[in-house]
Formats: sequence, C-alpha cells, structure tokens
Amino acid sequence: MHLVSIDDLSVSDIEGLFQLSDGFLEVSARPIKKVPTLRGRTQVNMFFEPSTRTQASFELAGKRLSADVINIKGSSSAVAKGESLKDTVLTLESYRPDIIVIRHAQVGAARLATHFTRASVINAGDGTGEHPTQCLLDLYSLRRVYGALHGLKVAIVGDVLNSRVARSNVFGFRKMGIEVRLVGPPTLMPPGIEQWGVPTYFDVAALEEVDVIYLLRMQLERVQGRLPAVPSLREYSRVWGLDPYRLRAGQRVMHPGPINRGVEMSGDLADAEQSLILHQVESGLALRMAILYQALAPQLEDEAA
Amino acid sequence: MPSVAACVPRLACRALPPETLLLPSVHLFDPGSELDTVADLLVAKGRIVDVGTSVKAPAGAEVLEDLRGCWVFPGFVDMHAHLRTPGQEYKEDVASAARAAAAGGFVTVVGMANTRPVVDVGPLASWVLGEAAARADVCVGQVGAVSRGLAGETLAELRELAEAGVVAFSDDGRPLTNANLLLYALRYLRGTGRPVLLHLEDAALAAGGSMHEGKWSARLGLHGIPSSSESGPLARDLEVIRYAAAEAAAVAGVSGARAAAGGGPAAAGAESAPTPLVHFQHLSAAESVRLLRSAKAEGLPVSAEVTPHHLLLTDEAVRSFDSSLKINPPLRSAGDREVLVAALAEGTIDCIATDHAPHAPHEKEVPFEEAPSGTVGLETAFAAVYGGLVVTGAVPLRRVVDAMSAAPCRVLGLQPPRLAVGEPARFCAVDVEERWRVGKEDLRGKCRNSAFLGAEVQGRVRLTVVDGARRYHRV
Repeated sequence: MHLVSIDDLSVSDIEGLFQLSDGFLEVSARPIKKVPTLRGRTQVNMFFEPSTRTQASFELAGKRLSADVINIKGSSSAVAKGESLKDTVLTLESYRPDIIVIRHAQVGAARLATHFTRASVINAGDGTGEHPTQCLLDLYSLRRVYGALHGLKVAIVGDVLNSRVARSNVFGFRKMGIEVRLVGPPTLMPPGIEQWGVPTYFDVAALEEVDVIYLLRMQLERVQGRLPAVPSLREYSRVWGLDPYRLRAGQRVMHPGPINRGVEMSGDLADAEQSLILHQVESGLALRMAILYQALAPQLEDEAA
Repeated sequence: MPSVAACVPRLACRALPPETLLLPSVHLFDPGSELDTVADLLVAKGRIVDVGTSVKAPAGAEVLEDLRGCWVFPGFVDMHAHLRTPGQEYKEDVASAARAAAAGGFVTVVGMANTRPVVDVGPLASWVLGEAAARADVCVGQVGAVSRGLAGETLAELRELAEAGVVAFSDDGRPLTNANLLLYALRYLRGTGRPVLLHLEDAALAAGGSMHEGKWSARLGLHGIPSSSESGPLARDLEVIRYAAAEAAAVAGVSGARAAAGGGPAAAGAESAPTPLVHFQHLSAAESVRLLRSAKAEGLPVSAEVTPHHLLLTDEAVRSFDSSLKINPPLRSAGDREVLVAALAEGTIDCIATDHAPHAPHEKEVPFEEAPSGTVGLETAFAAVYGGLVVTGAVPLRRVVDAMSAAPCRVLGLQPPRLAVGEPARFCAVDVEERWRVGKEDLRGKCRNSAFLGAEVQGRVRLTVVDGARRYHRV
C-alpha cells in the first residue's frame, strides 16, 4: 500500500490510523521505546531535499517498530553524480526493501517511484505537490487537542502557493469535516483554488472567527526565476505576520516547521502556550509509526494467518 | 497586522482660515447635482452654506462683485500631474504645482510616482503629503509606484503605500512591460479599492521615436512612434484584466457564500474584494479607443483619460519643431484627434487629465529629438477644451465638467466636489466669455513648456476656492 496523496485515504482509513497512533504514542512514553512489530522489515528513507523533523521522525518511527532503517541523502549519494531518480530507486529495489519513504524537490516524484519498486512508497513531501503524512499528523494533533475534528474552523495562512503542506491539508482537513479557509495576499493563493470551493481571504479580519490558525513558512527558495509574489518579507510580516497579541482568546496556532521566526510568526508566539508546534512534532512520531505499520499491515496479517 | 480597511486615500492641502464669501448672481453649473441656474452662492466656515436668488451677505462677508456673471463649476480634479518632488524641485514642487493648478480652476491635483527617488515606499508618499499639507494651496494626492524603483521587475510595497494614503498605483512614465507584474498587482491590490493607472507603451515599437508615425513623421524626417505602440499593450492588458476580474469574481463567490453562512466580519471583506479598476492614461490613438469601447461594453473594470493637448493638437503642429510639442504619447493624426473628441463626448473616455509635465528651459531648448517629453497643462486645461471643443459644439459642457471633476473622483474613489449646500466649498469661477492668448505670464508653475503657448483659448478662471478659502483670485 502506497501513501502518495492524502486522496489515497478514506475517512475510515484515517480514523484507523488515529487509533493505531494512540497505541504507539504510549510506546514512546516507555523507558524502552521499542516494539517488535516490523522486525526484519527494511525501510529506506530517500531524502533528496534537506529535512530535520520529517526524516528524524520517519527514522525513529521505523526503529521503534524494530525495522531495519537506512537513510539515503541526495547530497551524499549517487544522485549528486547525476543518477536519475529511476536508477536510484531501481538500485535500492534490488535490496528488496519493504518501505521506501521519499522526499524530493519535484512534484510527482513519489508517484514516479511507485513504478520502479514493489515496496510501499510513502511520500514525505514532493516539491510543491503534497505532504500527506504532515496532514495526517496535523489532524492527529488536532484530534488529541480538540477530541472531535468535525466542525473545527481552521485558517491556513500565508504562502499557500508554494506549500505542499497546504495542498495536503486543505483537502485532508475538509475530508474530516474541518472548515478550511485560506488567508493571505492573493498572489500567494494558488490560482483556481476557488474552483475547489475553498474560500480565500486577503484580509486578516478573516482570522477572527477561526479556532486554529495554521501558519505556513514563506518558501523563498521556491521562487527563484519567478516573479516574487510579495513585495518584501518586511511587508508580508507587517500585514500577515502573527504575534501573540493578534490572537483571540482560545485560538491556537500550528506550523509545519521549520519556522521563519519574525516572518510568518513572531518568536514569542512560537514559544507561547497557544502554539501547538511541538505537539505536532510529538504527534508526528506516533502517527508515522502507524503509517509504517499500516503500509505493511496486509502482508503482516497474511503471514500471521 | 493591519486590516485592509486601513487603506484609505488621503488628500493634503495647506489649511487657511475659512472666509465668508458671497458670489452674487453667478451661473451655477454642476452636472452631478443637476444644477444649471443663475443664483447667489454663499460660502462660510469652509462650506457652501446658501444658494438662492437673493442671498444676504452676513456681517463680515466679502461680496465678490467682480465675479457677477461668471460660471461656477465644481472644482476641477487633475488625476495626472508630475509634481517633480521629491528630487526635481528645479522643475516643480508641491507649492508651485498647486499654484499652477489653482490658476486653472483645479482644487485637487494628483502627483505621479516617477520622481527621484521614486515614490515606491510608504514614508515617501507620507512625506509628499506632509509637504502638501504645509505648502500646497490645492489638495494634493499622491500615486504610488507599482514596481520597486519603476524598474518593472518586482512589486513595490503596495500595501504600505496604500496605508500611507496613496490614491492609486502607477509606473507612469514607463509601461508595465511584464504582463505577470500587472496580474500580480491586480491580485495583490484586491480589496484595497485603489486603482491601477497604466501608461501604455511598447518599448520596442516606440524605440527611437519622437513623434507620431505617419504623414508628418515621413515629411519631417523624425523617427515615428506608431499607434500600435499604445493599442498593442492595451489589447494585451485587457486580456490580463479580464482574467484577473473573472478570478476575483470567482474567489468572491466562494468566499462570500461560505462566510455568509458562517456569519462574521469576513463575509463583507470577501464580497467587497473585486479586482482593482484599471485606468488607461493619456490615450492618444483611435485604435485604443476602439478597444476601450468594446472592453467597456463587455463590462470590464476599466476607465480612461485623455489630455487637452491630444484633444486639440495634432502631429502637424510638430512642423514648428517646438519642443513643447514633444510629448509621450505623441500628438497623433487629425483622424485620431476626431476619435478622441467623439469618445470624450460620448463618455467612452471618462476623464480629462493634464499630464502636466514641467521641464526646465535648458532641458527643452535642445533639438526636438533630444528634448524630454512633456508639456505643462494645469493653467490652460479648461480654457483650451472650452474654447476648442465646447464653444464649437463638439463636446457638451456638462461632459467636460464631469470629465474634469466628478469622473476622476469616481476612478480614484474620492468624494467629488459638489455645488450643494452643506458640501465643502471646492469650486472655481470662470468668465466663459473671455478669449485670451496664452502667454508666459499666464503660466504660474516653475516651467513654461506649454504646448498651448501663443494659442487663443476661451474661458478665464477667475477664482478657485478650496475648503472655503480663496487659493486663486484674478480680479
């Protein structure tokens, strides 16, 4: 079973993952943080783009499930010598991995990888395409905080245009009954998003009535060679940047990380109690354990039978 | 994290003690108020306080007997001038431009952003408006640049400029060559209510040209600028505008419906977030008018202006090699002029704007091709148009007054001056019978490069009142 897009999962799939995650959350609270679930299975993490939390999270998730985990990094692999994605995947496929976790700068890279391997491919972020496991961990974090997801109001704020997180979250959140709105300069909204019925607002007044403000990172590295969508980070931060004084009582803030402190949010907001940022990271480990387990669940069950 | 509601256009004018003035038996003419009558007009405490047939002068009132029989119009608004400040104060500044404007019956003048430095950041716009508040005798509005440094490459800090009170955005003096920059500006400004003013020019078609390409460029040997240099970019921009407007409408449709269902303040924000109005500056070519007419018929959010010199002069005048006739866009053919006049008369062209562009004598006293482009125009705008087009019957007076006062206010989202009791006293009085020849002494700004110098015009501005105080009075 692959996980390339959030569209690959149904509501009950997602709820199933939450239940598994609840159990795995408990594993990480033990002194010995390991269960034998994936003993003897091979997990290859292919990270062609820099990553701290996603890679660490997948690596720890695999290790806590007792899988054999190896990490291939773009900068220190044959990719740096010009090897194609196809050849890298085919090479690793010869080692018969069970799971390939892939992060790549190009949209569609994870889908392409599925053509060259029998392993379960998990998309850990493909360019400005999707980041389904981020969406799932965000949902899981929200479920842990709020109990129910249905009817929650979430504003996704900022650089939606360049965000794979937004692209998974908009559709994943709506699938779970969350009311999603996009807020930010119209130049950072993906043109055509209104055809998916997603409300977009240029004005920060649209933040007042939501429960959760989900801030996105301004992804300056993705605009090279294109017209910058905002005049300057100074202007973006002044108009759309968030600090603790802008929050309504009871509102909470999320961010997929890494944060640009002082751009999309002030440093003190990142550290404030309204911030769920570290809660998201914690939820992510349990949720990724659930995903790894679920990816191999059919064959694990077959073997058990 | 300021809301878009902070984007309010600002006008600045030197405050003077309000006068109590009685204009006896003047012809009040205000198409916006359906006013066309002879009456007395009383001004006090900055406002029009009485209009009637036998208004008594209160104690301390000054009765302006010299204006008896003059016509009174709502004050003129010039949405396109070059105030040359900051940076080129040897050509003009807010005080001298306001002096020229007041002599032309203008109560408001709007400065373009192509100064040195360019007005592309909020504090610079605030500085100009501060200068105006200290020194300008008519209201001054400031335009902010669309692109940083007018370089046409990246957006200027449009939001900060809007919060500083700019009335509009324009790279005037240069075209927006990059269509994507126009699209981004239209998206980014959604909901601010500030229009984008476009100077249309295809840099390649216009390269090296100094007059209209046609019969007279062929004869004179000057390199020409074809009409397509203007109409080409106009056609392209209309495609971008149509796309942006449809997108904004679709976004507002989705966001408005959702927010209305959920209630809350965002509902209003979304529904009032159409794409900004796009206003085409100084149209010169018949082809442009044709495109504009069909765009308006289609309902696109567009408007346009024409200058007095394009309405009254043609390329033939360049025979004199008078560098005051070196203008961008150039004076075009007699056929173009006729189309512009008809378009103004029928309202396809909304506004008359001067493109007042002062240049120092040493800059203009050079061979035609070397001269910078531009003519001053504030002092002569009404008289040139009145004498040349209203007296001849080509354009109705009500259309001219609308095009010089209320129409630019509609484009910029400003309150139009009105001749009605209770309104701020912002008007001018004109002796419409006086025929006069434009002389250097009639030009009251810092520069004398007028395309109308020596021309016979009709209608002499005798009085300009802003906020209840006389800013110009020719006894």
